[in-house]
Amino acid sequence: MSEGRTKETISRIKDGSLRVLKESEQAVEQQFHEARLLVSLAFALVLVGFLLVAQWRGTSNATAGLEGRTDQELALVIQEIAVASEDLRSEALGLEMSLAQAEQDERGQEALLQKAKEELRDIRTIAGLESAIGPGVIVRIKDPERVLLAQDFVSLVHELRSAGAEAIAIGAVRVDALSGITDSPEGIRVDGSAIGRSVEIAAIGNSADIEQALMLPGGIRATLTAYPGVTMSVLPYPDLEVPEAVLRPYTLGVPVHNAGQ
Amino acid sequence: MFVLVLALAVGVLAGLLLRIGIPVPLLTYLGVAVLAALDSCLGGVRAALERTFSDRVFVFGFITNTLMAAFIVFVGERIGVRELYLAAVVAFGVRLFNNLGIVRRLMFERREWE
Repeated sequence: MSEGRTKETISRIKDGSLRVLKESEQAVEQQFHEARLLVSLAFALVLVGFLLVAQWRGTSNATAGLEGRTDQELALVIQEIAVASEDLRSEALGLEMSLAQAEQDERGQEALLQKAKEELRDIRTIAGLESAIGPGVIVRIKDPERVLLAQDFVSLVHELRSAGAEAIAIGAVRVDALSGITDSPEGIRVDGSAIGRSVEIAAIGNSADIEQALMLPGGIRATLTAYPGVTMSVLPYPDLEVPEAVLRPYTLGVPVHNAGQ
Repeated sequence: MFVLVLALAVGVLAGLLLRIGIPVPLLTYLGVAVLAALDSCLGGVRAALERTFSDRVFVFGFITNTLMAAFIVFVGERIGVRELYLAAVVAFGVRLFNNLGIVRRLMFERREWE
């Protein structure tokens, strides 16, 4: 009887210990399972967190540049650039046109300046302020008796001018608008310098016309050579040089269009 | 739960510190892959709360989901349907919200028990 009870007790203890063992095994397994759960989930979450940040940064970098833009946005950007480029092109065209206009104006001004210079040169030449070179005639007058008067030379100069002479010099003196020919006890003076018994008068102009005008029957040559001893020859020259006149200051007269100022 | 939040924080911190630049053409791939990974994680949490979690299933699912998501984007680009990635986005998005809802409900229920 006691033996049977002992056996029963032993088996109960055995069962109990087995159950405890099993429970503890299950608990360990449960803990192990939970640990694996946590570890795998934790690893996955570390990876997810890392990738999230990387993606976040990559996206914000991409939107800052052109690479990450969508096709529509890129199309807009291209359109904007095209418009800007068109604006710039038209601006460049406008500027080129202004430049061309300015160059043309400059050329026009240069031409105007050139023309003005030429006019000024002509005026200076006609006024006697420039020495002049050109075809013309040399009138040689010999008056050994000194019978000619200033008036005769004035007439000669007048005749030359009438015949189209552009520049006249008596001896070495250029005859200009202010020149005066005067009689003096020493002879005739042109602008103060005396001329000798033989004098050369150079006149630039059409030599044929001048020659013809001087040689006219009853003309100046006939008149002058009528005086005793006076001879006069007219020789055409292809290139004569007439010296410039001395510039005399213009003091008292005032140009009319400046008078009102 | 604290461990999981800590793990996510460690990942974010690592991302911030390492400053890895993702090439622009890979951004779509990685975006969808991240969505898939996030979905897998929420699925894992949900399974843990439902006490049906298996680490093998989780790891396998995590890797396959991520790679498949990227693969769908790749296939879409190759066959000229770039918008195919939207399908993956929608699918994972729906699953994400679904899992999120279940996780939330389970957590509330558990708290009511305790």
